[in-house]
Amino acid sequence: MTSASPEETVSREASLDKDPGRFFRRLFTSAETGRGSLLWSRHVTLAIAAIIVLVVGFSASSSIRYGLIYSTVLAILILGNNAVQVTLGEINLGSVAFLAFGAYVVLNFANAGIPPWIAVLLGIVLTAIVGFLLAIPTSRLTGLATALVTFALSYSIRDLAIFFTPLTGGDAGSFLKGGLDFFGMSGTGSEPGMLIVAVLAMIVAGLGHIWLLHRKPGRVALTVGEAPTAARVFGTPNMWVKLGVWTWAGALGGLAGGIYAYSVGFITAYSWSIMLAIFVFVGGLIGGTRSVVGAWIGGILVGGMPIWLTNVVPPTASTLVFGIILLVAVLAGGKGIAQFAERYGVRLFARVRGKR
Amino acid sequence: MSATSVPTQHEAEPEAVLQATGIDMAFGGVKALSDVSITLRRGRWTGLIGPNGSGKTTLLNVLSGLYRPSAGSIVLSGETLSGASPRELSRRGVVRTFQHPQFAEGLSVFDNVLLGTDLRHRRRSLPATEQRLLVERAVHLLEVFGCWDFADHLPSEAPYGARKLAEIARAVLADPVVLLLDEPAAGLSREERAELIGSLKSVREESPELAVCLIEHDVRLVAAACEAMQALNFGKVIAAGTSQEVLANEDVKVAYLGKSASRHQRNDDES
Amino acid sequence: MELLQTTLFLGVTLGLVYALVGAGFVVIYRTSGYVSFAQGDIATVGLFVGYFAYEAGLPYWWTVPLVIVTCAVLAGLIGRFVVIPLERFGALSAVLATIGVGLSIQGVEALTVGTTARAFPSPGTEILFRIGPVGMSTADVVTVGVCVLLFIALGLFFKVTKIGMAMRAANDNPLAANHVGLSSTNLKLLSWVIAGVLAGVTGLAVAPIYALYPGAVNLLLVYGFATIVLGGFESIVGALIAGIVLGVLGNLVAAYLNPNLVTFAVYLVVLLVLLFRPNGLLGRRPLVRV
Repeated sequence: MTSASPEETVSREASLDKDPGRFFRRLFTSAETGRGSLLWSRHVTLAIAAIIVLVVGFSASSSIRYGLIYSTVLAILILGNNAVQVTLGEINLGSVAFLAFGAYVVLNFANAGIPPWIAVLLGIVLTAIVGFLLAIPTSRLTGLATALVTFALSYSIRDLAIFFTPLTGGDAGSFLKGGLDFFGMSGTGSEPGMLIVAVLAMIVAGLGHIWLLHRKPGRVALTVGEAPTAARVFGTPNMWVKLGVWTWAGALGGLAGGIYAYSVGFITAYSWSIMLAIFVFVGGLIGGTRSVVGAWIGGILVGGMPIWLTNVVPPTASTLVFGIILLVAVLAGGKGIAQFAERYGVRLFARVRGKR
Repeated sequence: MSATSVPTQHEAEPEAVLQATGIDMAFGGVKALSDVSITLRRGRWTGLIGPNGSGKTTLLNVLSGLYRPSAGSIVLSGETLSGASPRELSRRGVVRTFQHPQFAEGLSVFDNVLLGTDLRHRRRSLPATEQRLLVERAVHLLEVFGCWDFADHLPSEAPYGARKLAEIARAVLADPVVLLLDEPAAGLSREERAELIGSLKSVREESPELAVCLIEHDVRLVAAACEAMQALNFGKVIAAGTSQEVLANEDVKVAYLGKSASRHQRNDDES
Repeated sequence: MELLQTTLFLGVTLGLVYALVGAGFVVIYRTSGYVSFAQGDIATVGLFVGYFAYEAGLPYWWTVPLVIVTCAVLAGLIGRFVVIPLERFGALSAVLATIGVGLSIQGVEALTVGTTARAFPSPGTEILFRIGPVGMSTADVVTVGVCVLLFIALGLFFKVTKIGMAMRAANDNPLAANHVGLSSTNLKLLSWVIAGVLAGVTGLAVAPIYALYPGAVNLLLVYGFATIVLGGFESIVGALIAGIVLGVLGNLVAAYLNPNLVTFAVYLVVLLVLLFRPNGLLGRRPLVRV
């Protein structure tokens, strides 16, 4: 008998359950919670999304491909940002800090001659540590205070980058040498190789997210966020759970930063704007806070779309488009596009199978 | 219901599991508890009654570590734990429910109940198959408490009664040494209350060593479930002893029913 | 010593502006329980209207009320027809709505008047008098004077008038509005209008220094946030004190350490204060019900 968490055992039992009422109820609930029976369907949709991104990216122009790369980078960042939002219920506007730190770490190690993949790995680990350290004070805050403090942090990144010009290249910027080459395909800029790297990173991050959310860590984190007193009286070390979630967000931020660095190849202090942090937060909400595909949709919305829109509409108007989308999304309520889609899909499935 | 009667003077009292002595609890200038003592013994169910605001929930919060008492001591199985955190107390087997079910709204009821499996205070080490057993035990307890039908629902989609019962199932699932129940029947219909009494009886049969403190307004329910009782009013203990003794106590009647009602009762009794 | 004096005085002047931004946040937060990210963008709309009127020949001292009224009206419209109706989805949704409004305004501005920076008129840059080595220009004097007056007015309004007191209570108690014969919505509308006025005044104070373009006033947002974090989300007096503290602190860091460390210093101060005083230096402690 393999050692399985209670969650896994239950989901296994779900598939064996003979009671159709229970079966469909579990599907409905799974669409709402981001956990539960839809585990394998989420693997499938992740794979489909990856395939679509790759196919579109390979067959389209390099500008569209670049938009997809940037979207995927943001999607990874969103995934981490969402983890904090979803489990701890905190508004995290600090994603720019993680992105920037990861990018600069990778930049410095890569230019010092460290092999690209190792540099990225170092970026992930070091940014995760930063996430952990930042979380120590930040996780003691709640609600609005977290939002404002993380806002202030992201806002200060640009100036900090200028202050640390020897390490960052300041506002003049630094070029990144080399690329994340992948089996002979060049991994820079908007090359197909870069797209593959970004998609692979997203898949890895997405799988990590799915497994963590569906198993005990996700249950515990959600309990700490939504019923903290209950968690405490059942022995949960609330503080450590929060630190863990922020560390995960940091790790993903570092990963996003590393890929970002190789993709743009040139980083200046002006790369880091507070608007990006807001976009990441909002994009995650609109795409779907508990879903990997939702994060990817969010990334496309706030990352790719503005780039593609510049072909159609002056760049300044993209703010207007985004603002309107945001207002519409707020009106629509709900937990994002992905959750809406899952809910609708389950309902459709139930109707097809004759159950209400 | 009272399968175990409170021993008479001649028999030995069961071992004291949780002993709170001289508890004072002050919030700013308001003294919520004054010199409250309560002893929970192995296998005994102790009811805690009193009108609203008498300090029952406050006492429970102190016993479960959510409040640090201004004065007094708490001894658990011989270990002095005054001012211990909820984590330390729960890891030693003190488990509680809340009057208003504390569930994560974004998790299914079953996932919420699984919180009870996170406590590992049992002395025996757990084999790998324990996980499966825990799940089965969770399912079993939900069935015992009659809320298995709502296990796969979101808490917002389950009726209040089902959530309250699931809350108790969660606490029992944690295999407590001391179980503190905060008004488990509040908000339950009459049928649900009858079911609750039955479920509690099952719990008692399955865990005869469990020391329980049951806060309740429903005096009949407390009397049915508990053989010992303590009454609070204005943060002070006004009566303690067997259920019959406490319920017959004049001060208790006055506290609950008011002086005139008590006088009427006496008139009725005398006439 | 000269540097210190200059730093301190200019810090106070700057700090008053920060305090003004914070006050705008406080007014809405008190009545509705969330922070509006749209304040800066409301200010720029008023400023653009004023700018074009000024360029068309309107004297500066008529431009001032024009800007303020535009901001007040716009804020009232946004509050009444966009954000307040969305409050029923929760505070987060309301905040997101203010972000959405802000972004939309920036987009519209960019499309209509373009993104080039424009010089906004100042009350006057001639030095009126000196305090030691520090020269106080007309603009400085006006700014300080207006800020002080506004804060006194706000303080009196909230402490003395019935409507003001109802607004203070409205966040905790939705029925408070009824006691003064206003619907809760109208009370909130009033808070938006007042916040709009504050936004307009803030814009008038900073536009001459920072130039006018879409999103110009948003530079102050973070300082406004820091102000209310330090001063308590619901305290006007707190905003005043915290704003001045931040202005002085920021200037000291810029003068003696490095200008690029100012924003990080703000972050650190905010973080540290919140760790020890979760409701701000002067904030009320929320009632804890178990």
